Amino acid sequence: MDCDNRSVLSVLLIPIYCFNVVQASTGFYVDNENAQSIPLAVSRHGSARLESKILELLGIEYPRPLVVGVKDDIASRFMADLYRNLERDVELNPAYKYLASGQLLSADEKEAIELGEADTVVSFLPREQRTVPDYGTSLHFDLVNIPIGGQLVHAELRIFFNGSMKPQRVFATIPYSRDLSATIVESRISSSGHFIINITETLLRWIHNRSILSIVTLYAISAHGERKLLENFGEWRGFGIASFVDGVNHIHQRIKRDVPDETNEFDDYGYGFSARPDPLRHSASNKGCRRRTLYVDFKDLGWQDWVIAPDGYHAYYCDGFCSFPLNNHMNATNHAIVQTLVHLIDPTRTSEAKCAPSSLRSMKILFIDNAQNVVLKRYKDMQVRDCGCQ
Amino acid sequence: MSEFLESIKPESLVEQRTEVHNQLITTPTPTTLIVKTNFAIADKVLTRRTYTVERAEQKKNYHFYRAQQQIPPLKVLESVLFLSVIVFFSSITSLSAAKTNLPPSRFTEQEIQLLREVFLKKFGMKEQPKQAKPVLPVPYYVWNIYEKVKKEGIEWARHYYPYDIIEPDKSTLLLHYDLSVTVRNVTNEIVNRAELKLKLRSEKNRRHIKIYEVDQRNSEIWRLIDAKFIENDFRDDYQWVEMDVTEAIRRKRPNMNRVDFAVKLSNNHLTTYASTSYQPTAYSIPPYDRKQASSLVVYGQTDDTARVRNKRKANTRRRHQHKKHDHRSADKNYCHRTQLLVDFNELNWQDWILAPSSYSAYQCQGECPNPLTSHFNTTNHAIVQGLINSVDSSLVPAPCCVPTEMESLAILYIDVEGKIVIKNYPDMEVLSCGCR
Repeated sequence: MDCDNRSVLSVLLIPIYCFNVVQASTGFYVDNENAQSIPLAVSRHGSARLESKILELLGIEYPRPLVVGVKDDIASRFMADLYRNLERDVELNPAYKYLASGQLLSADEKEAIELGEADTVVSFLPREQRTVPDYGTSLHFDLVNIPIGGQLVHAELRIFFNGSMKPQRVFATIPYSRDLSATIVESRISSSGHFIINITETLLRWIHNRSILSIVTLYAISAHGERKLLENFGEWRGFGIASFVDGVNHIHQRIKRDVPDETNEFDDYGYGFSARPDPLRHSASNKGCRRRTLYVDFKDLGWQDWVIAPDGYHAYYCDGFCSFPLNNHMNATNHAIVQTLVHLIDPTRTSEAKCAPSSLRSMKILFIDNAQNVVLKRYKDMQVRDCGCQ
Repeated sequence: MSEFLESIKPESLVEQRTEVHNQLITTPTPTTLIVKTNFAIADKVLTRRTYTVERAEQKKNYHFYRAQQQIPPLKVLESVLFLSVIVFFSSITSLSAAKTNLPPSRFTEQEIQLLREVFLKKFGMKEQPKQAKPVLPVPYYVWNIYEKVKKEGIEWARHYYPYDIIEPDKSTLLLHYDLSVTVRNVTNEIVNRAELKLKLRSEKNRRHIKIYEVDQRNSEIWRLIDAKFIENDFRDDYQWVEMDVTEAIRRKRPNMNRVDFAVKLSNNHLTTYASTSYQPTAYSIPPYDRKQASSLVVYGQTDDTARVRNKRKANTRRRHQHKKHDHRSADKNYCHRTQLLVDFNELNWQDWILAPSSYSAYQCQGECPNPLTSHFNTTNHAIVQGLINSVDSSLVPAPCCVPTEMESLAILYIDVEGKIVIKNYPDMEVLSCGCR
């Protein structure tokens, strides 16, 4: 009826109508009766609550980070290369396509920094950079801006020279106590041309003892043994990479500390256990247990300015009947078959088997945090790979 | 002198037949008159004992057969009705309630047939294995194998009696085995171990026993598979000897469903319980007691069970966690594990499924609260799904209570022609539940 009125009134109103449709999208998509993805009908308040909850699950502070592009191209491009190395199918956010250029990461480096098993990989930049003639360039790091969480696995300093001329050897002077006594570490050269200095123990020392100055002084040694500044070799950039493993599953901890929602508006929605999905929602060909679409579009949520990749979160969900007979593509366990049989014989003793994920997959997110660091985070069991009657 | 020549002659014939036979049989040395007399006396004593034992075993078989025939139909029906009372109860409380308030459910013949078909399909069979009658009794050591399969996570074990036994001479026994069973995929199977179990009469002297695989294309070719010395054993008038024949079962043969062995004992008398004094013929049907004295047991797994095996190990390690976890969850009406008993006797399968007669499958019941906590053994995805369900429960369902850890179940059944199969089926029993 409304559509008829609009078409009768004026053609000019149609763009406004389309605009309203776009505005109505809240970022969550599910399957309809015909197995097509449609926006989930969520109110504005519900969408805001979902957004805050998902950010909480992801371990990211709310409100979302306020970002205006990346702070440093080299570090961000390195992290983007790392992300695309680990997640081969996913493309970067269109706003950050420019980061996907060049090859800053070779295959063997992936193992060196143990990034495959890490839950969090953080790139961090020095807060201050000061050059002392005839001595070296000091990088001053601010631990407050490094999102340290979980157990540190590996940390390294990476130095990248833009020009073609590169030093022979690069050294770092790192203080290891309060009285300015320092240790000297030589860098190694990676296959991609980076100079890498292992600072795992240094970062651990900084974390446990804040009184130690978090300063690294870099200098080069020429072939003749002369001490030289890195600036003599043209433009260069240094940044840090740290990888962490979650000692305890932080998501559960946060859930425990969750304060109950004080607003009563949520009482209108159906809380609690849904015993069986609404049969009206399923057409005949759609009844059986299988994986269905549940997609969270980061762009619709307005996250495209701080989430570099992926574009959205393909969560999926499992739904459908586990009725007798359970055929092969319902992926039923032996116990599910036994239970369905018992339910068929005597429904009062047990229920049918239930449709649930039988295989889950982790998801990785590359984003810019509130301290303007580019962070790569991995979350276990985030996506449904397969469903089955269990 | 002529007696010595007579004793040498059969061995020479055997020597010529075994072209690939490398080991020499020691020529017996001449003995004094006194030793001869002792040997003759011992032989008579052993012969008499054998006759007595064989007679007793025949009596046992006869009683077993008569016992089967004597069961009246009324008692069978009564047994079935009694068993139906305890079939498929969820919990003790429900059982009491069922007794007092509601009459217990009785299966119609159609429902029982449906249950049978589905279980047979899960076992990988199209119909119930047909049994030869009378059915040979299950030897005592099969129960030891059954326990071994359950504990060690072996996937399957099969027990075969020989379908044919030929005794060409006093020191040689030929055993023919039919390896075909109802459920078998030779290409996917891996044989871990195979052994012959031979029942020999005890003797004073130390003996040497050798097992050969007889070539299927040329029965003159014998390959030595296993050999060992048998020490004296005076506790019984017989002893069991296990010989490793894994190599022969694994070898590719023209007919993989058949295998033939030759058994040779070092002394002149192959005094197994399978030997008889009458003239053998190639196609005679051997008595059952001879079959029972020469068994073949094969242990194996299918090729795709590596993951299942790993999963089972993980389950074993987490048992304590599960018990502690289950107790906390059971305090409320939330997701937890409850009883669910499955009784095979209700299907009238006690004549071919020997163990277990019933088993506790357990089940997962209860609600999944929102928001989810770590008590309910949940995942990140379930938390996300629960969040979205809390906004609109009609479009995305809440996470549901399902098994998260399961255990396998070993079943011992009699396959076609009296073969005994022990097989481990994965994911038959619930160990713990969670919201997923």
